[in-house]
Amino acid sequence: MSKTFFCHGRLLQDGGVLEDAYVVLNHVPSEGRLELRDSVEAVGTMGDGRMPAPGEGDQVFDVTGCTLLPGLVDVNTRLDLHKDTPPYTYDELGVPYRTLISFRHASEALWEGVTTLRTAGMPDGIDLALSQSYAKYLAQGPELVTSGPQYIAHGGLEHNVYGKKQCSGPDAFRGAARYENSKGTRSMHLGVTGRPVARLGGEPELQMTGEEMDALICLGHASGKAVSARAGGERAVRMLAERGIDSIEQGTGFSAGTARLMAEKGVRYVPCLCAAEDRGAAFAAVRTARENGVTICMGTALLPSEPMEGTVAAIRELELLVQAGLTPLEALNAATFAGAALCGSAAAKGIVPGAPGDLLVVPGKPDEDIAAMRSIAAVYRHGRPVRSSLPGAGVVPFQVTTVLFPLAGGTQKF
Amino acid sequence: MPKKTFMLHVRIVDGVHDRAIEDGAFVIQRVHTDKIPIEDHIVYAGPMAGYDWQAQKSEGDVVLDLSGGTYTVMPGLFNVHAHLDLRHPYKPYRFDEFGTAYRTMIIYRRAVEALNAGVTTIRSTGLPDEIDYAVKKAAENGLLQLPRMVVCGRLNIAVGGHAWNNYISQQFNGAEEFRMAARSELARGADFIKIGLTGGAASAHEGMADKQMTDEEILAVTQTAHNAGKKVAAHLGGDRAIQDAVRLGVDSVEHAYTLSESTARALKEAGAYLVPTLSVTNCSDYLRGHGSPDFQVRKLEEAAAEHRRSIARAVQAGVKICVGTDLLPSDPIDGTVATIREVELLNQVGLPPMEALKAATVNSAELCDVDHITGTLEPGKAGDFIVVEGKPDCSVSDLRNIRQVVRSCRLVWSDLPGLKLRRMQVTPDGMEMDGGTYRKW
Repeated sequence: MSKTFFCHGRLLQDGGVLEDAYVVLNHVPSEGRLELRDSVEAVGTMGDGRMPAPGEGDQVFDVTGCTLLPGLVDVNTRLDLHKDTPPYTYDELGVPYRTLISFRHASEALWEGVTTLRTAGMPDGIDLALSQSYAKYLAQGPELVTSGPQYIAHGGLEHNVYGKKQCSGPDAFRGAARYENSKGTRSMHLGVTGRPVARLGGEPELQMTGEEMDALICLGHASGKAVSARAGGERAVRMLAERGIDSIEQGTGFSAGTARLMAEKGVRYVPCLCAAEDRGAAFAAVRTARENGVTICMGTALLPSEPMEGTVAAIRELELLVQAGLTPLEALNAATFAGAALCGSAAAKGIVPGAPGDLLVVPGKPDEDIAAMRSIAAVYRHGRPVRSSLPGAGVVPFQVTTVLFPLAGGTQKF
Repeated sequence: MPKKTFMLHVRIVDGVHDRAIEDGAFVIQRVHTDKIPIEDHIVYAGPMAGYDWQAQKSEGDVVLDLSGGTYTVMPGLFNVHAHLDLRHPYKPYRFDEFGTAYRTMIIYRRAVEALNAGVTTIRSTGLPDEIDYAVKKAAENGLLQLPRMVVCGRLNIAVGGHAWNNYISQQFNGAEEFRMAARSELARGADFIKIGLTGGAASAHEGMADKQMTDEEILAVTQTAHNAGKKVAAHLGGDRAIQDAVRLGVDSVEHAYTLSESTARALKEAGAYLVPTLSVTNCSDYLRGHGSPDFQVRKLEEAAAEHRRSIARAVQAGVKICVGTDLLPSDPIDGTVATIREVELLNQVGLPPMEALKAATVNSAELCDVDHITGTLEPGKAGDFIVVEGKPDCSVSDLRNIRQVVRSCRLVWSDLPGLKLRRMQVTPDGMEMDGGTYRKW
């Protein structure tokens, strides 16, 4: 049994930053068993007299000037995104290769510090297979909050993208979702609206009926699953909020009144700014949501590791949230505590004793300058290092690519 | 920026010569860092004497002097008969208990285990749902680090034939159906075609020598494959069927539980390859440990003695022998992994150590039609190699002491003096990356 100590760091907690803090991780040897029981053992401020004494074989990192924060949570990812999506429905990858490409992309996400991600639609049980592989430690990856395929109406938005579940009528949707949920999915993802329509005053096309929404939301809630919807426009967002949807993703154009309803009902907003086609409208929606007390979560609607603006989508999304009006601390909260709570993740409480030990070490103060997130120094998952450039960390073993091939690239490569 | 690695004062078993080079120099060159295909290659594999390595050395090159111990560099191992989704015990019914996506992950994991074990090329002799093609593609385009893959898609069998109860097989009836099956796999990019020609141990109600395909069916497959320049591998239990198969153009005989002297000579004359998979008839404890059905263990135990004699006859006749296990390449057995134990078993039935190493390397590379790329240590070859502490060409059990594995000139792991790199780890830090079928996924 050994321990890892991070001393003299700043610790991001739910609600603020603890200065001159320590975090102690407790490692339980696996001894050949397929289980990992590492956890956060102790958290406090240096000199509080409660920090356990480091023993022989323990690793002690002085992280003065660094901030410790929970791993990032991307609540809207498309792990099977790749270079060439044809304009017609075709499984151009096949299940086995789609599985491997998704595994690679999940590994890239973990490398970039995303320790929990939710799949916003994934065909052929691939998210479940990855999640099972990770749960059994067949391989390492982020915590995967599975959703099965995205549910859309027949001919709905992106119906040409392979793997959507297209239905018409509440019974058909309910039947499809019952089948998927029986496989063990943890959440559900709906596609509700389409493109803006001029004759509707720019409101997006509403592609699902209220009865269909009810069928899916009630079914999900009956087994404790969060149900999220890609939806925009005043009418659709209000209909979904009234029905108790758990989050509105990617959509814009809702009113202050609807935002107040969202806040009242506990509906989160996931703006997905990296992927927004109209960034002005998206920024305005973030402001409307924030001013009316809506909880905001971080989602990219892309690969978290997609290269952009000199960083990757997950980090860029944080910067855009700040540009849209969130404070850096609020943006970090969206990407950690708020997202983890939406996902029902074990990491929702952050770095507290007993937590699973998913954490990042970031030089600087990202809660004051979000750009600090561009240079993460260490990523820990399950209390074990995924990568680390901390002095004395040695070579960290996680490796799925050939030596000299970076674990990066997003859709640019494959 | 080209960068070389010089391995000096190392013994070399190059797969070409019949004797090791005792004081050798082995040099590889990096061409790119992260471009696909990897063009890194071997630039020199020969005696130290007369090789002015210092003249070849540039700044930044790596020099490893191995004169402090006895180390042998040799081509990476092949395992030319493997089903990476193997799961014990076999069931008396056919069922996809994993699903395609999860089966893919299991196969991925076992492929990585194999690479860590020194197996740089795997010939997959039957996997369902086109998973082998996907794994090969992922290996070739740099998506993930994997062994080199040589693939055939499904195992094609007659209706109710060998392994009908295994999800890896697909059943056909008649020459035209088998022709269609072969054409389908070729269209997907098969490197060879696999058929189940006789019975085996996997199914309860078949004799291990029962011939289950007609000559017309066999011929339909061999013609179709050969017309596309591809080989045909056949699961073959008994002597008579082997004779027929070789006459009908089958290129590699897999298993050969019984083989007469005259059939062995026919194999030699036809230039056919033999993949004995002695592991299969020498793994009773392994099978029992996995709760395998009695009939399977009994059939294989009864076949074991004759299997050994049969392979000994093939060795005497000079048949080209290759290394395949049917078990996972990384399956733990007798204190080592199945691939290395197969080399030991071949040695035990009379294959001299150097010949056993060739079976695991150059012969298998020829069988897989990748001998122009890998399988020997020659300038221009891809640089799939292992470094062994000891002299495996004198005592094959020294293969148990692999100290470095390299695929396409890129380190997989190393435990050599002066160059340490941990094993390739796709699991959390500190968790095992082995276990084969003993890990119940």
